[in-house]
Amino acid sequence: MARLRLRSLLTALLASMVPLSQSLSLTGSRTLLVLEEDTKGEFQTLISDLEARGFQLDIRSAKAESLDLFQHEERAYDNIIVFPTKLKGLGPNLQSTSFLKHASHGGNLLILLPSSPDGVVPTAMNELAGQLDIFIPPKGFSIVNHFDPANPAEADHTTFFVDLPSFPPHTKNYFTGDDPAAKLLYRGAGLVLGNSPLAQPILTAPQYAYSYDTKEAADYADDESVFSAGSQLTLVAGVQTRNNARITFVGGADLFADASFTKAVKDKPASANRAFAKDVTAWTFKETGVVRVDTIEHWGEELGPAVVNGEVYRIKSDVTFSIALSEYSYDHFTPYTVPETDALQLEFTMLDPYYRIPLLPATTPLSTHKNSTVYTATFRTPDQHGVFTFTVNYKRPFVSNLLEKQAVTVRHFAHNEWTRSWGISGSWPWIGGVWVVVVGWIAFVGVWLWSKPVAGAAAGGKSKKKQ
Amino acid sequence: MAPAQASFFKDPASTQNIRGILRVVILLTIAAASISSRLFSVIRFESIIHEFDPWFNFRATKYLVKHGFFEFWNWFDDRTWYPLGRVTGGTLYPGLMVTSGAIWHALRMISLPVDIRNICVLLAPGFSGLTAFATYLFTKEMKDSSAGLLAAAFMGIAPGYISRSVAGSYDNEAIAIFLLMFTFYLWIKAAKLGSAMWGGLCALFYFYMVSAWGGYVFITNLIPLHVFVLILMGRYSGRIYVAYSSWYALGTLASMQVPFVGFLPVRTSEHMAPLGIFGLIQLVAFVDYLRGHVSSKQFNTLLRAIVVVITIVSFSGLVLLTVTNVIAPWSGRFYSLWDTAYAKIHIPIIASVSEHQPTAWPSFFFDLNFLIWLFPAGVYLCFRQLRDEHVFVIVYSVMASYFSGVMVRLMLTLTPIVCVSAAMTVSSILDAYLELDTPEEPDEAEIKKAKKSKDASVTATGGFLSSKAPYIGIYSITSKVSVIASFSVYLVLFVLHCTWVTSNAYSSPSVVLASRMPDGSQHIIDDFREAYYWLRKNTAEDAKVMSWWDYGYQIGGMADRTTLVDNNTWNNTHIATVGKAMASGEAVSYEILRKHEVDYVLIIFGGLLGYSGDDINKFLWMVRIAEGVWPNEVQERKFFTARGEYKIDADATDTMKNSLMYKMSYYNYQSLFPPGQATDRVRGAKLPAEGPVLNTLDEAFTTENWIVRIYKVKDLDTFGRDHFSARAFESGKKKARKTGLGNRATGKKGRRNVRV
Repeated sequence: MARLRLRSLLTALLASMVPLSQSLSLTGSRTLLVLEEDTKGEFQTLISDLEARGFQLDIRSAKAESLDLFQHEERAYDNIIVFPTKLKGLGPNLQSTSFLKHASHGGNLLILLPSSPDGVVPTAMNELAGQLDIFIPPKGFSIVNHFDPANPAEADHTTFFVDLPSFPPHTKNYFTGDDPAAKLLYRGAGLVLGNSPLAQPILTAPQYAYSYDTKEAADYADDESVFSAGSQLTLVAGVQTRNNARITFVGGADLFADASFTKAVKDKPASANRAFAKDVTAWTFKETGVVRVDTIEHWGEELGPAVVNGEVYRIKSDVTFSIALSEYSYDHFTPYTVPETDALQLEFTMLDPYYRIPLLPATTPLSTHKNSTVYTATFRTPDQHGVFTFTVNYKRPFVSNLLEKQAVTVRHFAHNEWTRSWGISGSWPWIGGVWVVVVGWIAFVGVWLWSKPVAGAAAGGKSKKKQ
Repeated sequence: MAPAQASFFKDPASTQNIRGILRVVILLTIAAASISSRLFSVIRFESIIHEFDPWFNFRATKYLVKHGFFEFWNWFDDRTWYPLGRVTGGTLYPGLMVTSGAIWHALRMISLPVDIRNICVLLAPGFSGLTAFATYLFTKEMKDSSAGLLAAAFMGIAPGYISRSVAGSYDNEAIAIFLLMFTFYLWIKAAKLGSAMWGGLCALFYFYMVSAWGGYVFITNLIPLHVFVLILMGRYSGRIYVAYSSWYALGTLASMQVPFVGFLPVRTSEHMAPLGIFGLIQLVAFVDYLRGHVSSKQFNTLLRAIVVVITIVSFSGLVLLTVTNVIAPWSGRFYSLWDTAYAKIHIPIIASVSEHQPTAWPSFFFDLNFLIWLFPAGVYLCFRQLRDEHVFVIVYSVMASYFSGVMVRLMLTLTPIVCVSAAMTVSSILDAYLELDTPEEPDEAEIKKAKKSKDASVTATGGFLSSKAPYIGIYSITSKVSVIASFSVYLVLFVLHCTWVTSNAYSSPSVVLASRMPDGSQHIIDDFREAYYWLRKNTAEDAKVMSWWDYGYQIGGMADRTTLVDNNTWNNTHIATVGKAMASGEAVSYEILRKHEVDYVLIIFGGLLGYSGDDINKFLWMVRIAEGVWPNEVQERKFFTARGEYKIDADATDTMKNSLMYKMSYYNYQSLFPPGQATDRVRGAKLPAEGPVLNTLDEAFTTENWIVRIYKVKDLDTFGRDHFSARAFESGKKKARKTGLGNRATGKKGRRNVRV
């Protein structure tokens, strides 16, 4: 009876969770917006765009006592957006450690820093950025670009045009929206990234832009009072943690404000900001750039593809490895293709890689995959027994980290797998020798037994025995 | 009635049957005694496999029983020596496992399904009964069956042999000593009879021995040595020729069938002696044949020429083959037999094993009691008779005495011959003093006659003077009684000593420790099994556990987890890697741990309980072994204080304090004591008030008495930080990272570094 009730309870619970899990983000749709009432009006379009994409928004003030990112040690939210606030210290449950904990439990974070030089960066955000090897300038800094200002009439040129991101051909670009030629409007202080491989610049400042101290060096900025300049200055930075949680820092919140969405840019009626905001939030909340491993199959020549993913291979035998990859794109999975100039590689490792070979799209995969690309490689196991690992270590900017390891045993030749002695031509003289001795011995015994002893020989034999 | 009684006892014909039955009964009693005296450990503790190596043998036996012989033969073990693996089927002596596997199958065949563990536990006691029987046969060939019975009794309970054959001590030696004695018996039989059949049987048991224990090399060298000495003594005979040739040819071919041995008998220096003697005996036989056909003068010249040529050719051939590496040069273990300091300098991994240390003198008495001082007398008795088989006893005694002095574990090979010699002595004494008749006084003439004949015999045979002394007998009943009484006391004391030693010194499984509570009751310390059980139940099936190699077999056997190194120390570099990981600071160690995909690190810590066999006490060996491979990165000197002391308290060197082993041992240890009172009870040292800090490891499990501590290796930091700053941040010191940009972020001026 109790069990039945429990079951019906569970069903009810599951049913109630269905709308929750209908989210299009791979992490989930429960989204917390840390947003004060007074600034809410500036980001209406962003909020409604997110709602339209299926996110369940929970708008809370940073000061809210009841706000907690964790409930029963489980994440209470899947995604968090922190909007600029006037507070130096956020609420009691919004410390840098709680944000780190949120991310280490797989939750995503989007942090919008104030655009105005007078804006306050909360301590928690500074600490968080420090842990991620991202550096936020102190209060009073702002970027200027005297060469491409949005409003040339404005004296300080702090609002300027930025091109949409462009990356080298081996990097996937998820941030160009529909029109790559469109321009963005930006105002803010910018960021500088350290050498952490996890932090990647999404949007960098134009070549002649620099970030300087608007208070102390209002008239003349020397090297001392410049924070950073040019492409070293990052406007939007994306961090992908080792557990594939995403944390994005936006240097100036105005980038996503309603005001910049509608402004005309040069010859175009509207800036690309709205599309860019969609791309950045989609990437941060795992609607794009998530690569999934559908299947991994490996088999050897010995047993053929009938036995897939066996645990033991023999040295010096052919092994085929195949991996099926698909990529998430807003609401469905599509086959993932590696950029032309990039390579997906397979390592066959025991302490050190014995092989590092490219995985190529299979023309005739073992099993058909509708929504994924199958990459395969065939190689011959080295003449070294041990525990080897098939490793696919594919870590690229903006694509979720892929680290697949499958340990297999490479055994030695079994004692009956060697060539038999007669199969080796070099052994023939020895085998011949053996048989000559055997036949000779039998012949000798025959002759000895059937030959009649001579009288003299018997005497000789006796004298020998005496000794 | 007395004379009649005496004749009743003395008439061999009339009492033959009774004697035969008595012998069987006595032998059975001896076997029962030797088995039961080895059961202390089972009674005290439980039916459990002991120590370290037996755990591997046990695991291998289980594998054999489960997968069959074919799979066992080809066994590639991927759960040891990660990630190298071990070709176990080809690198073990399968004799032991096959024996217990066969017993298991035989018992099942007669519908007695016995747990394989019980067979393994009780195999050594069972075989000790057989050893007693083999010793009886061997000694019988030397003297007579009464000496044989004494030898069997001695062998049955001598602590030197019990130390390796108590119930649960499932090691190769358990069956190997039986095989050793039986092979020797067969060899003596073959040499005595000159029979190819006995030689063949000897070869068969030699093969069994080769398949069971690496100590077969002792037989391989002892039999040729015996033959060589006989040839030098001018005792070459057709019997020796037949026995040796048939043993060598068949035995060597058979031994090469064991995969682990393979071509060693024709390729290593250790095996060159039998081959050389085989060649020599052919030559001697040929020369012997020539002697019958050539005149003596020509023969002498011929002989000299042959000897010179053969010596030069064979020696230069041996040197040439050794230099060109066709024959492997002597192995390190072999050198350490001659120079006890060799291993310590060149091969620390051999020297680090306690049973490879030179024997301390008291242990001879401890292991053999009064046998050790009867032993020379027995050898002397052999000189008196000096038949071919007595030469064997003498050669065996000399070799085994030397080797047992070099390595503790070789006490095992000395024990049988000591038992045999001592039995011969005791038996001779009893023969002389238990004679009920008082001998007739010989008259002057007879003595003179005897003297004369003695002189004549001495000049005629050229034998030893001592061997020609006439037997006279004991006249006084007092001396008879006193000698017999004192020897009875010695024998009783011997039994008491053996029982005491067995029960106190050799019956501890070492997996389970026993201690006494203040009220005298026994308290079992079961930390090892607690830890291994934790590993078995709480870690992933394929988790890799790093520990010092001593515990490799136990982790494999009890916890069933993959280990990096174990007691089969075949790869020095891999062991040195583990040593380096233990001896280096966290930053270096973490790299090693990551590279080897280590999930858990297991250490033994005795500081709380005063268990002295812990890892900190073994630590210097880890350092030495690591230093042998990476002399620039690990240096033993740095672990000693300026005054050359090995310390773990506040005076310890920084290298010591920063080493992973030190940190793991004393991590959180201070929390057990009031502030500043933490004490290590093994080293009797007070520890610094501030305990070590671990950044890259998490404490996963610590046993009840802190003997085993298990740490989990942290994964890479989720946010790309190094563990030191991550830990510093989490522990509240929220400092920005020490980079140029850090200063920038806090508003300080200065040039920033550029992202590349």
